[in-house]
Amino acid sequence: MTHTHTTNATPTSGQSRRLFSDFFQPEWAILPVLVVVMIVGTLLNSAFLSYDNFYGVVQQASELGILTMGLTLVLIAGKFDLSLESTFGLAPMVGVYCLLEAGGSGLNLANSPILALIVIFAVGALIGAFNGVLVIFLRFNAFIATLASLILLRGISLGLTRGETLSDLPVLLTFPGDSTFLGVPVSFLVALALLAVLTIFMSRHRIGRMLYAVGGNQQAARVAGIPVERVLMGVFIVAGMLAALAGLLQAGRIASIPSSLGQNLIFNAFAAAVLGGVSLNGGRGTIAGACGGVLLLVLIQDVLVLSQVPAYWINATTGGIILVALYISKLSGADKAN
Amino acid sequence: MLASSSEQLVTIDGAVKRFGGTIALNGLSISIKRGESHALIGRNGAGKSTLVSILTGLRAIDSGMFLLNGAAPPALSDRNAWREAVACVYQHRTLVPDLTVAENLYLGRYQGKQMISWRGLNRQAAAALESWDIPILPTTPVRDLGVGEAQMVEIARALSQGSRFVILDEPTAQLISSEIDHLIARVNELRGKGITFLFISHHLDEVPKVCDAVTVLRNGRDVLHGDAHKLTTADIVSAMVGEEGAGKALTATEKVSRPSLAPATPVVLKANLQLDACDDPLNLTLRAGEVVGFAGHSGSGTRQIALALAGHYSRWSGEIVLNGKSVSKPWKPPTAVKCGVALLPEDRIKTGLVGGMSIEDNMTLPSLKAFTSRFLLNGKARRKFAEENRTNLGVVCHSVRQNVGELSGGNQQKVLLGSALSTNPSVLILLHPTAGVDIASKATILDIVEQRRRQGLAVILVSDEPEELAFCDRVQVWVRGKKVVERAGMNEQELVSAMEGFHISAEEK
Repeated sequence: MTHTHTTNATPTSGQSRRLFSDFFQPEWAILPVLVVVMIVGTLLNSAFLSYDNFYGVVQQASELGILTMGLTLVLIAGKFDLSLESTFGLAPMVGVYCLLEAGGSGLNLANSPILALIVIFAVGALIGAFNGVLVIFLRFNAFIATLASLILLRGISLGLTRGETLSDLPVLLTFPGDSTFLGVPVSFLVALALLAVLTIFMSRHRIGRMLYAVGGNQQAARVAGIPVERVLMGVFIVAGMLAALAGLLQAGRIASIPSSLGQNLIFNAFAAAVLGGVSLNGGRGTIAGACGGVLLLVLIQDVLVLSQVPAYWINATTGGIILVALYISKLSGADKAN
Repeated sequence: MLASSSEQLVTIDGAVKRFGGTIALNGLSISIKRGESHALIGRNGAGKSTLVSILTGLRAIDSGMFLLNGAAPPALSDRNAWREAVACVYQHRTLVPDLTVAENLYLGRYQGKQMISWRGLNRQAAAALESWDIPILPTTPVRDLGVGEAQMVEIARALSQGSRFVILDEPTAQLISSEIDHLIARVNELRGKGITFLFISHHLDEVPKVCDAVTVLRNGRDVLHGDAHKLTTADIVSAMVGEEGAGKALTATEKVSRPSLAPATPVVLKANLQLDACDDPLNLTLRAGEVVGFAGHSGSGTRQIALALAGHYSRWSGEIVLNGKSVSKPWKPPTAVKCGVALLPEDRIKTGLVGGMSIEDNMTLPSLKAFTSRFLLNGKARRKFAEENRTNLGVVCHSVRQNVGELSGGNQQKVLLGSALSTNPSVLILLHPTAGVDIASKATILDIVEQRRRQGLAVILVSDEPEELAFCDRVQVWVRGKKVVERAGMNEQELVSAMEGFHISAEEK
């Protein structure tokens, strides 16, 4: 809002106002909302500020956060991927399934959970590539194509396990999801590391800038000689791998893989990304903003649980609060593009 | 000259229309008789579009007289009255492709009960089409119609709304020649039924075939009225160009005086292509430091030629040789940019700039790899490059981190040029480089290109503006996919008439 006036202002005041608006990126608008939620949480229940509570919040936020980071990359590039939640469930499942089945069939994979880890990421990448081919090369509508993938992949999860839950995961696979380092959950450290790496990548690596250009104006990106298709393909693959990692963390935390792992999570990821100022039209948003949105969403749900909102009403309340939060971020200009 | 008012459909006398500081209409007069077909001719910016917007009631004149059907025109807000009086068939389609002809004809004004009677609607549409001798089935989806047929539906819609005065805005620009003949025949039939036409065209050869009267506009004023069958093309062209442009040499003016190239100057680009959009093959030999122009209106094929050379249009066969090496197909934009072919696209907002990104980001977008050191982008080098470019190009902004969407058109175009030049290309392809740009920015943009040209940049310039084409060493003029002439030193009049489909050879002068 401020910069439209600066054109007529003197150079010095223009400069300082510029700095001001540079500093207050739209995604910062979520901060006051986060503070309000924290205060409300503290007032409602003294347990809110406890280590145990934060431990749980931070773990959940890490899993949702990594999934949302993947989705955010796709959204910034101007595309869509609903099926990430199925990848979240299917990739760790296939990894563990290989381990267990292969062990039984004497392939001697049972002793090599590292191989399972590789399989998990490979499956994530493959599913990403599959969606990429559908959307980019076959030019299917991204919404419908990835919705179909979502259903297809969830169906494979069910079919593979006949609806049963896989348990007895090897330590290497549960470790990232359920251990701590100096009292901090490892999954949170992983998420923080990814946040840092992706933030630098998006702002300071040329492919990061290309993603914004492709999402902001695909025609212009083409004119600039950016290999649009290859960049988009890469983003689908990376998003799939991030979803696989997020799923692995959650599987580790609950020490099992139900066939419904990750179900309905994509809606939370979308809500978090939009709350954090990521545009659904592409070209706008940051990884940090999206993570702020994740934190907000998880905290809201936590406060609701702590303040003993009946379990059956938590979803309805969350939905309502997301709408209120969207309205607030609209007022503060966080989602100009939407 | 003024006939009795009952015969006059439109009488405009001394009309003035200002937009801010610019005068779009400067004392324009025109009178259109009922039942005639009147040609409106003028170059871009002559005031044709403004006149159309006044005749269709989208704008009002600031001063002067305007009578429609011998009376004061309806209020601008009375859209129904305007719709019944005048209809305009624009260059872009205004039909809904997925609905049928009948639905499109009565869209938004279906007279009937609550529920639609398809049989009734189709019968009504068939009757309307038949009464104007338009042989199209009302149940055909508009998507399946050819360009010419869709145009006839638009005309039928205008007529069925009660309008007996139809403005055709460059109706033949997108038609193939058989469709043009068809359209001309139809228009002549409808004239026989008392319909009045205002016919805007860039193709002067069509004028005597369809029109009775001609009005030529220049600089917002009517400069020539006459009988379409008596005026010669030369009369019309010199009226369009005006005294000042008539003898003006296009090349070797004081603005662009270049020494001729040394015979040893290397050939940068050699192209022998057959595009599917063109009848004639493209033969081009471009040497370092040379500027070759491609002149032509929309539909001439010049745009496709430029896009093909830049890798954005692939429906061609033949060979492109760049710096002595034949390029391999598929010739795609990333390869083209890498091989040193840069494009300045025609629509900076839609296809040129990334609106949500900063000036700095946009200026370095094609050359990000060059700014990468040790895995990450070198922020300082990018900033320095952008700042230097900002100074050189004279981009008015308060910071290179400013969003490019906030800049004026001229400044955006400068940023886009900076972006295209950021890879140090050996060939620069410019599409209408100064369209919609203020005069000061125009000069800067051409100056920058000239500076690079002196350093050996080869330039291809696609335009229909003689002012822009004056920058070229030689110009190829294309009309409807055919190369009409290729020559150096054409003057404005020759160029304009060649683009309008009339090539005045040097001897005729």
